[in-house]
Amino acid sequence: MTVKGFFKSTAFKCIITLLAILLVCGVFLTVANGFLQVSEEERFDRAIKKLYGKDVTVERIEDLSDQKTSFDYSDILEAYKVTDDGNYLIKAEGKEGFGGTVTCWVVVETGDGENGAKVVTGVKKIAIEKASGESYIGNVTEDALNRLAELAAPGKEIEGGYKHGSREDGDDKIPTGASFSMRAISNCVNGAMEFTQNYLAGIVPPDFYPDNGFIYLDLINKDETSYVNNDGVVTYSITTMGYKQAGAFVLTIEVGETDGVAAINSVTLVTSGSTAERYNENMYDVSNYNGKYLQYFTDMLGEDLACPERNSGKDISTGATYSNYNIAYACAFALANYQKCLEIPFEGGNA
Amino acid sequence: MNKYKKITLDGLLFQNPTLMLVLGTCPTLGLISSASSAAGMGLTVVVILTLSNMLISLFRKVIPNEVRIPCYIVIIATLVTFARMLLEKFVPDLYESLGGFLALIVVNCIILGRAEAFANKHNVLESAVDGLANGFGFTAALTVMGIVCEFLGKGSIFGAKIMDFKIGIFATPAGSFIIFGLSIAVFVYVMDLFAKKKRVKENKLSRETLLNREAA
Repeated sequence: MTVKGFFKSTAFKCIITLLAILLVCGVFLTVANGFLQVSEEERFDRAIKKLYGKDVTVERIEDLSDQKTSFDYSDILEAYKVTDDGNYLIKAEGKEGFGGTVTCWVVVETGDGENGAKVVTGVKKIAIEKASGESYIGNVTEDALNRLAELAAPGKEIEGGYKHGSREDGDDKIPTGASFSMRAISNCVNGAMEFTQNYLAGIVPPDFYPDNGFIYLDLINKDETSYVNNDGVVTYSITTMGYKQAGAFVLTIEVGETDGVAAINSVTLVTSGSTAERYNENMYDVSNYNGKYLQYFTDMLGEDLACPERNSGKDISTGATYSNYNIAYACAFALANYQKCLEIPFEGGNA
Repeated sequence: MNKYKKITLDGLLFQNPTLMLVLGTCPTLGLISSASSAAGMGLTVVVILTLSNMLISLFRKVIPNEVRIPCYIVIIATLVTFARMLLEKFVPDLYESLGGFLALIVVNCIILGRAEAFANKHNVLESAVDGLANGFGFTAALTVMGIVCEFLGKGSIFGAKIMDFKIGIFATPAGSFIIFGLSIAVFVYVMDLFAKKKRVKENKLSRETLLNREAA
């Protein structure tokens, strides 16, 4: 084809037409975005209106660097003190939604404690700001959020939807048809309350496990994991974080030394995080881990302990891969940190 | 029959995109557990469908046949993005309640289907009427099913509490699926009855005309 022929061809016409449409649409959307973009300030005002129904005076807590803002299931993004009522307005991002995270504004109520110091007394109101990837977020009604706020009490971790593998309705569960999203929202609330409690108490809680150099913590719920050292035999009580559809598992793992290397003595499944009975049936027999070294797990999952493909042919690909992965990860955590547990006595949890 | 009346009746009833052609099932199943979300989604689709039909009809002679589908997708995606911007700015509650389904309008079979089956063969006015008719047909179906689902599943209609009794499954996509199936069955049955009645009436008329002619 000659150059002249190309310029007269249908192919050229197609390219030009597509480019022209793309250009016009692109310019149109750029201009529209300039006019319609919702600024951070506007978002904040909307949140205040949703929560209070009127304008209130707030004071931003600018420096959060000396506070713990990252929790196992949520991160604190912004914090404000509401000067009108003395409560705290926390913007938190809850993990473990269906397709990602849910960002919420939580009004944490405060009151006077026993010695006159301010303490968290509950949650006044919750508003969703962003829920990218949560298709059923529309099912989370105002009523459900209000009920969640009512359930929130200091020291009590609330479970919105199902968190530990249960879909049953109950006093502390709120079925909405958007269980995963509710789980992320309840994580926001738990995080906001914990943050405010720490902030009011003026304490900066230590991160026990990471601060002491423990490794393989990504899938470990550090707040609910402990260990005991009995003359060189370490017994862990581990709660995992859950992985994808599989919820949190609670395990008791005993690790001792065989030929100078840490090896598993026994693994006991206390609570299964599987979301369906068929996954429980398909799960890899945990007694097979007895006598296994860390090398076995790193050979299977790699040095970074990544979850293998579901049909990878690895030992844990049994039709309940995500559930098995929780357990294998916990075993690897127990083995990798055995020496640390011998050196550092457990001091009452992460926070 | 007047052609605009035919286009309108087709979109609303005889070729109703949701209940007769079973198109746009993804947002249908995802959103009919709440009547207001269903109505909001429907109205958004009305606007996007009408505008996309008009634009595609307007440019149908300029767009080469070989690249018509990518061009339609770009036009539809632009309109959907614009609609998202508008909703996020002016109706944030609806924007949040529609969730990911709002972005999924880009690949809604009804919109692409009408572009391909109607808008690229008809003029702008006819395409606009077709867009409105199909959009409102979709909206009406979604809203009615949304009312039924919300009433049964949450005991409320458009968020207003009606009763305390509720059947949890109807607040979930599984319940939506049941209501969707039943709605199709009822709608098709009614349309069938209507068509049968129409046929009988037409046959009667033609028989009478024949008899009159013979008598004459």
